[in-house]
Amino acid sequence: MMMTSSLWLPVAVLLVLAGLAMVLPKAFTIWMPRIAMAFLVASLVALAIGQWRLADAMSTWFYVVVAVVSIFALWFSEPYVKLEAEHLRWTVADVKRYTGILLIFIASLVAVAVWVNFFWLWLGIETATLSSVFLVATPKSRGAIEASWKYLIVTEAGGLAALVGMVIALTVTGRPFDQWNFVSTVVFVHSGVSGRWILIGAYMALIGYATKAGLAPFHTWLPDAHSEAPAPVSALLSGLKLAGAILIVYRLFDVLAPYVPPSRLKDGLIILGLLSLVVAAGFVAFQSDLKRLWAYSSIEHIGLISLGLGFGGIALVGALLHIWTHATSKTLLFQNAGTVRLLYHTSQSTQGAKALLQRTPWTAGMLALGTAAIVGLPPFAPFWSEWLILVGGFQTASHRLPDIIAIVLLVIIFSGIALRMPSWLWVPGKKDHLQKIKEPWTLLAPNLVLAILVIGGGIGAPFMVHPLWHHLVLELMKNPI
Amino acid sequence: MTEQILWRLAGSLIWVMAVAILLVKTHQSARLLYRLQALGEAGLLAVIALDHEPLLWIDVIMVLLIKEIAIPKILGPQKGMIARDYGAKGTVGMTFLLFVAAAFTLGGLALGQVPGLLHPLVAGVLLGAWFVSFMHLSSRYETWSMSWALLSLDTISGALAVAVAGPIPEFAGVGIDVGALVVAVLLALLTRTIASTLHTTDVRDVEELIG
Repeated sequence: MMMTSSLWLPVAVLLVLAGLAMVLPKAFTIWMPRIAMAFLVASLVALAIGQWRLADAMSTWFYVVVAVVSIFALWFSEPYVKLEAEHLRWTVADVKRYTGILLIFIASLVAVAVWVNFFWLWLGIETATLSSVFLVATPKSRGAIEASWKYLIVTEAGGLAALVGMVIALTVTGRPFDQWNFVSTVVFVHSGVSGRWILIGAYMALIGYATKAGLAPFHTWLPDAHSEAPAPVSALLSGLKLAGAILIVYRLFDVLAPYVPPSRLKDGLIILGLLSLVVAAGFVAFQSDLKRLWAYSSIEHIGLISLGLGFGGIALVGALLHIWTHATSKTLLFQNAGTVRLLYHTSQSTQGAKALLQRTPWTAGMLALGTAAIVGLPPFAPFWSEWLILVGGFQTASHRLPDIIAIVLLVIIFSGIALRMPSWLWVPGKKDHLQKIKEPWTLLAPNLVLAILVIGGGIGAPFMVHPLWHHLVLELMKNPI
Repeated sequence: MTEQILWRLAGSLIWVMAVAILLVKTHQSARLLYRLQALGEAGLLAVIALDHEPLLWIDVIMVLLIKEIAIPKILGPQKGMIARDYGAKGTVGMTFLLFVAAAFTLGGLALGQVPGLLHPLVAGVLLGAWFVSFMHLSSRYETWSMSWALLSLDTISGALAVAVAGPIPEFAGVGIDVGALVVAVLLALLTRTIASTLHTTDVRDVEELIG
């Protein structure tokens, strides 16, 4: 499948809406995200009834995740930005710029989900990075500017490494540019193929995309960027952009697998996955900022996804499912953390964001629900996806040791989050800080629907989209890596 | 033969400027060195365009317009701030950086000799420059210096991807370079935004490394 117009169309529509949001008067700006939401819903319907087809089941699966999470982020963003703009005194131009860039960010995430050519995928993830750098800087506070700068430096260095690595690896295989995609089944073999350069290119690409995905030890930008960004942006970054970057690497490794031993490619994913769990385990228990806590949790979960992709087999299915379960649960958590920041003017437990269950029970209830899901408690969906990843690790003898280490680290992370959460949820602050705070229904509504999705839809998703899931599982099981 | 010499000259110019930008980044010199490095990239692309890929003339023109004029102009109006925050002061620091740059360059040259690339020597020089720019990124903390490191890395990556990796279609070469140019412009714009918001080029409020 080539880069057909049906793959360009959704990206083009969202980019046009982004442009209109920035140039039209403010009264019209507010309608652009709403039209984008309607468009994303329509695209999901078109996929469901077979009127729109993507390259393969994995693309379709990731597009569904991107569309659903983006709809919730756009829905939450409208009331969130209205309150944030009042609080931080944004100008009309600031609001229009934020809305436009948010739509560009979503368009680039859609591109990462639906495009098939590796060069265009690189451009997609680059656009996602650069647009989100500007979004992270939106609050214009010193912390936000520093975070965006760190984000830019680390991930752009990685992006350039990914470009060079990808170009070297693919050109050395002898594939013509129009075959630089993951849907071509042709294996190009010629006498001059250098396995060493393919491996060098593959590892350069892995390091490059790992910086985009926030995998340790290239994660240094992530806690700052996630904690400083507006809440809907944090949700999109954590749930979609990190997973999109790691999926591109997986696709690239899939294409390179016939030329180099697949185990040497998979080992890179496993090592980075384990390192990410180590970093999360080391830092999660010491966080006093709610958004920063979920940022470290994102490092943990992208590490788990990387482990699943590296283990292969049933763990691969778990990794794909985990992209969905993590994205929905983490969006719920980041958006409610954003509500906390708006209502309490901080998300730090040491600066007044305390006794949330007593003062803002709906928001705190959803935070508790999301926490139970994200730490992997049954019967929430992340439990099942983590289970598949860990069981998959035990199926191969050489993966058992990393799998056992991962389980130990997950227990440490679980304990860390379980220790920290009470300091926000029910540990009381000073007596004069215990009055109730009114929770605007405009902020609650999107999160309540998302909470229902996390409880019911999260666990039921594979069954609700059974035909797609069936195809996906079949495709993954015959995968070479 | 002439083509090979021109390739090596262009590649060497890119490498020399990568090392020079690592060492000296006063307001005027940084922009000048960046322009010279971009000239190396344009030269490399021009050799390929002359030889067999005429579409790459588009890249040559864009590189000249954007990297010679637009980006230095975007990063131009911070003279006072740069003079306050940045200064190359110590010879010991410079010597150390030169030794490290030499080590990274040797590493790049050795890597270029691994069989499989079309132009091992130029690839090795550019890989050396690439490593030097990576080292530059991790050895300094003020935005002015890191901006130039990243812009230098962007130039080297564009040149490496288009010119050295292997035969790719002209339109793909143009696409890769356009991608790298867009990234460069956005980097420059963000650097200016950050400087004008923070009124400093030092994001960590620490005295930068001397040298």
